[in-house]
Amino acid sequence: MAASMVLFFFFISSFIYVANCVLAIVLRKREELLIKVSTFFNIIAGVAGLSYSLIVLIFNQEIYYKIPFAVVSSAIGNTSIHAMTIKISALNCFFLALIYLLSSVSAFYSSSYIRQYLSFENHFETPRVPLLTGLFSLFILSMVMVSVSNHAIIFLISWELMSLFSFFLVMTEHESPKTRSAGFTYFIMTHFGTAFLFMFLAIMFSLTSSLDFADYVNIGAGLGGGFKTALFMMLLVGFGTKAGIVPLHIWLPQAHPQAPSHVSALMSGVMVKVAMLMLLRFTFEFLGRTELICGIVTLAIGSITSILGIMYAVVESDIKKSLAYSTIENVGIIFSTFACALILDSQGEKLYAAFALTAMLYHVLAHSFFKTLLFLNAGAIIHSTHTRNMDEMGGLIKKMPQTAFYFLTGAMCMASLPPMAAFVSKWLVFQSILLTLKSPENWIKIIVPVAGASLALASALASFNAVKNMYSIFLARNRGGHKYMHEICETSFQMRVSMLIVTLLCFVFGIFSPSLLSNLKYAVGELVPEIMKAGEFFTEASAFIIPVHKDLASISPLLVFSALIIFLILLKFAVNFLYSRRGFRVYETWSCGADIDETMEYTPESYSQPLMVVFKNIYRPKTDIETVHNEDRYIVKKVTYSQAMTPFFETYLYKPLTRFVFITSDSFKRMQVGYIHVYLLYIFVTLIVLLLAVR
Amino acid sequence: MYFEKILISILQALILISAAPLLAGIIKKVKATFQYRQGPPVLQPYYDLSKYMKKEVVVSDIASWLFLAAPYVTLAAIVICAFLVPSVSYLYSLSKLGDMILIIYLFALARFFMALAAMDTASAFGGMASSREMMISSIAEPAMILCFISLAITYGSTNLSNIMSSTIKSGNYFFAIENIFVFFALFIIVVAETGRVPFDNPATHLELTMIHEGMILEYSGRYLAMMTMASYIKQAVLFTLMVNIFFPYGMLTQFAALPFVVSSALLIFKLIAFSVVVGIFESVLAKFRLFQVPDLIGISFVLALTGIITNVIKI
Repeated sequence: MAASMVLFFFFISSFIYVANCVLAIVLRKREELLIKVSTFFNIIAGVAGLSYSLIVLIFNQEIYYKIPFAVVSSAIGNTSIHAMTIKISALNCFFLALIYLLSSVSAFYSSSYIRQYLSFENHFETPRVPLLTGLFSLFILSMVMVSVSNHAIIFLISWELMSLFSFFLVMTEHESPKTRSAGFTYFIMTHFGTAFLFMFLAIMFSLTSSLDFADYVNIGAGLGGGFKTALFMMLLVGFGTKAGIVPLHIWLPQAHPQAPSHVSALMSGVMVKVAMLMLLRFTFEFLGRTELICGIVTLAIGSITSILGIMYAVVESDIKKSLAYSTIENVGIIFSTFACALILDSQGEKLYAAFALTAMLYHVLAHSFFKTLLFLNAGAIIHSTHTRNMDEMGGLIKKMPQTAFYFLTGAMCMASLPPMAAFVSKWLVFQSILLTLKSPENWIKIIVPVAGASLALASALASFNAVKNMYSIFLARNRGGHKYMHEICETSFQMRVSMLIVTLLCFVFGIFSPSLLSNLKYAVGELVPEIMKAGEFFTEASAFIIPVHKDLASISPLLVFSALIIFLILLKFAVNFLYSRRGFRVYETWSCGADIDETMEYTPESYSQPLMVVFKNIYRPKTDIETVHNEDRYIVKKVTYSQAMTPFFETYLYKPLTRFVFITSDSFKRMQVGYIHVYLLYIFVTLIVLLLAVR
Repeated sequence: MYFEKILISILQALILISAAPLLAGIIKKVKATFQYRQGPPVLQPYYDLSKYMKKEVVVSDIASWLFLAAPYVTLAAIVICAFLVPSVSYLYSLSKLGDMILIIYLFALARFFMALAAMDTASAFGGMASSREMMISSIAEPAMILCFISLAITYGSTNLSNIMSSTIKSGNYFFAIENIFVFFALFIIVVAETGRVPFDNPATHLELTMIHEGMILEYSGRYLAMMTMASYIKQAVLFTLMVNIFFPYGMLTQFAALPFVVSSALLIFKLIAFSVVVGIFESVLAKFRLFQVPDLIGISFVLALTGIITNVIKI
C-alpha cells in the first residue's frame, strides 16, 4: 500500500516536471503566464516529491520499480536489460528530499528572478524564459533520476542528461565570451569524469554480465585488493570531478557563477551532492570494505580540497565565484568525513563508520541549505546592483535590510558558527575525526590529526571569508559610486520568502539537530547494515548528540542555543531598562580629524591582503607597482599598484596539458597530407598489421 | 543531582565572570611593576566598566543595526562559554551540554560579530584591525584544534569535565608528561587568543599596531563596556581552561558549602598565579611584527603535533 503510494507520488512529480517542459514550448509566446504556471507546477511537483521522500526516509521503505524498455533490450540483445529498475530507499530519499525541497524554493525564487530575462525587456534572438523554465524542470528531473537509478543504463543516461541540462543552463547568457569559455571547460571536465564512470560500469558489466545494480551488490568481496583500489580510484575521479575535488575542480568556479543564480544555487547546493550520493552507493554497496589506502588518499584529497578551495575563495572579489570556491571547500570537508568512514570501515569499526557517515550526510544537508541561501542571496544582490564585483558594493544593509539578515545567516553557516546547522555538522565532522583515532594503526593516529587541523584551518578561513563577504557587500559605505545606487531597494516578495524559508531551515536544523539526526538512522543503515542490528546509534529524541559513547563527548544544541538566545534577549532588555536614559548620540566616524570617504575603506582585496602575505607560497602573488614621477623626479605623480594571484592548477597543470594535446595533435596533422592514395596506403598498412596481430 | 549541578554551575560561572576584570587588573599591575611604575590599582578594570556603563553612547552615522547588535551577541556567546567551562568543580558542571569544540566555536561567533562590527563604521582602523584579527585567528585555530585533539587522545574525550577529572582519577600528581608539549602549545594559543604581547598589545592605542583595540575603537558607553567585559571573560575562560586542564587540583567533588568556598578560593588563586605568569611573559617580550606572528603560531602547531606523536608512541 505504502509502496504504491510512494511510487504514485514519484511518478506524479516526475510527470509534472516533464509536463512543465512541454508547457514551456506551448506557452513560449506568453512568457508572463508561463513563469507563473511553471513555478506553480514546479512547487507542486516538489511538494509531492518531498512528501514521499520524507515518508520513505522516516519509515524506512525500500521500493523497486521495473521500467520495461523493449527497444533498448532488443538493440543490445541482452536478456537482463528487459527491465530497468529504479530504487527508492531511505538513503536516496535523503538526497531526494534535498533536491525536491531546494528546487521548489529555487523555483519560487525564480518566478521573480527570471523576469529580468523577459523578451520584451531584452533583445534576445531566441526567447530566454521558455528555455529557462523548461530546462530547469528537466534539470531537476534528471537529478532525481540519477538518485533513484538502480541500473547502469538509466544511471548513465540521466547522469549525462544532468550534465547536459546544467550545461545548457550555464550557457543562458551565452553572448558573453566568459560564459562560453566557462561552459566549454565544464563540458570537457564533466565528460572527463563520466569517462571514468563508464570505465567502472564497463568493468562491472564484464564481471557480472549484468547492467542491474542489484547484481553488483557486494561484488567487491570477491575482488583482489589492488583491483578494488583501482576501481575505487575510478569512482573517486569520476564523481570527484562532478563534486569538484582539487585538482579536478577548475570548471566549478567558472561554471557555477555563470548560470542564473537560482540555477547556481541548485548546482552548488544539490547537483554536487548527487555525485556524493552515487559515490556513497557505489563504494559501500558495490565495493564494500575497501583497502586502507583508499581512505588515506581520500582523506588527503579532502583536506587539500578544503584548504585550497577556501583559500581561493578568500581572495576572490567576484561574489558568486567566492561562493563557488566555498562549495569546493565544503566538498573537501565532505570528502574528508567520507574518508574517515572509509578508514573506520576498513578497520572493521562499523559503528564508528556509521557515525562518520551520519556526520557526512549532515554536512551535505547543512551545506545544501546555506549554499542555496547564499546563491539566492547573491542573485538578489546582483539583481539590484548590476555587478558581481564586491569591490563595488558596500552599504547595502541600509537599502536591503532583510536580504542582509539572510546573508548574515548564510555567512554564519559558512563560518559554521553556532547555532546554525553547519556548526552541528562541523562538530560531528570533528568528532568523526576523533573517532578515527581509535583505529589501531599508529601512523593513522598521526595523519588524521593533521587532517583535523587542516579542516580547522579551512573552517577558520571560511570564517574569514564570511566576514569579508558580509562586510564588503553590506556594511560600511558604498564603494561603487555607480549609477544604480539610487535604484537599489529591497528585493521582491518571492525572493525574500524563498530566502526566509532556507534561513529558517538553517536555524531549525541547528537547534533541533538531535531529534533530526536520529531520522538519518535508516539512510546510514543502508550503507552500514551492521548498525541496524547493533541497535543503539543515536539515542532517540534526546536533547543530546552523543557520538557512540557517552564519555567521548556530548553536546546539547537545543539547550545551549536556546540559552544563548534567551540570554541575548535578557541582556538586551536589562541594558535597555537600566541604561536607556543615558545619552545616545549619532555622530561621524572618528578619522583623526580628516574627512572620511569610501576610498578609505578596506576593500575585499585589502581585507585578505594579510593572508596573501602569510600564504604567499600558495597564492604566488605577482605584484606590480608602477610609479609615475613628475618632470623633476622627486615628486610622485601617480602610483599604480596591482596584484594578481597565480592560479596554481591552471598554470602548472592544465596549461601544460593543453599544450601537450595541441602538440601531439599537430604532429598527427602531418600524416594528413590530403592525397587519397596516401590514405589508401594507411588503410592497407593497418590491414596488414591487424591481420598479423589476429593471426 | 540536577539541582545541585545547576546551582553549582551557576555559582561557579558567576565567580568566573566576576573575577574576570580582576585578572586584567593583575596583569596590568605586574607589567607596571616590571616597568618600575606604580600602575593603576588592581581593581581599575571594575571602575572602568562602571564608568563606561554610565557614559553617553556615541554611534557613527554610517553604522547599521549590526553595529549595535554585535556587543550583545559577543557578550552572550562568551558568557555561555563561562557557563560551559568547569571552573570550581568538574563534577557539578554543565560541560555535558557542550564540549571544547563548542567553546572554540562560541569564541568564533563572538569574534565574527566583533570583526563585522569593526568594519561597519567605514573606518580604516576597524578594517585593518578586523582583517588582522581574522588572520591571526585563522592560523591559531588549527593549532588550537590540534592541542585539543592531542588532549582528546590522552584522555579519550573532548568533554572538559572528563579531561579535568582524568588527571585526578589516574592518581598522578602531575599531568601526563606527554602533555607538556600541549601545555606550551596551548599557552601560545591562549596568549594569541586573548590578544596579548607578542601578538597584540592591549595597552596601546597606536593606530598601526592595534588589533583588538582597533576593532572596538568606535564603541563607547555601555556598548564599550559590553565589548570590554566580553574580552575579560574570554580571557578568564581561557585561563581557566589552562589551569584546570593541566592543574585540576582541589576542584570541588562534593556538594557542601565549605569545600565550595575552599575550591573557589583555590580557583581564584590559580587564576591569579597564571595571570602573573602571563604578565611576566608579556613584560619580557616585545611585540612581534605582524607577519612574524604566523611563525610563533607555527611553533605552537609543531608542539601540539609533537604532543600527539608522543601520545601515539606511548600507546
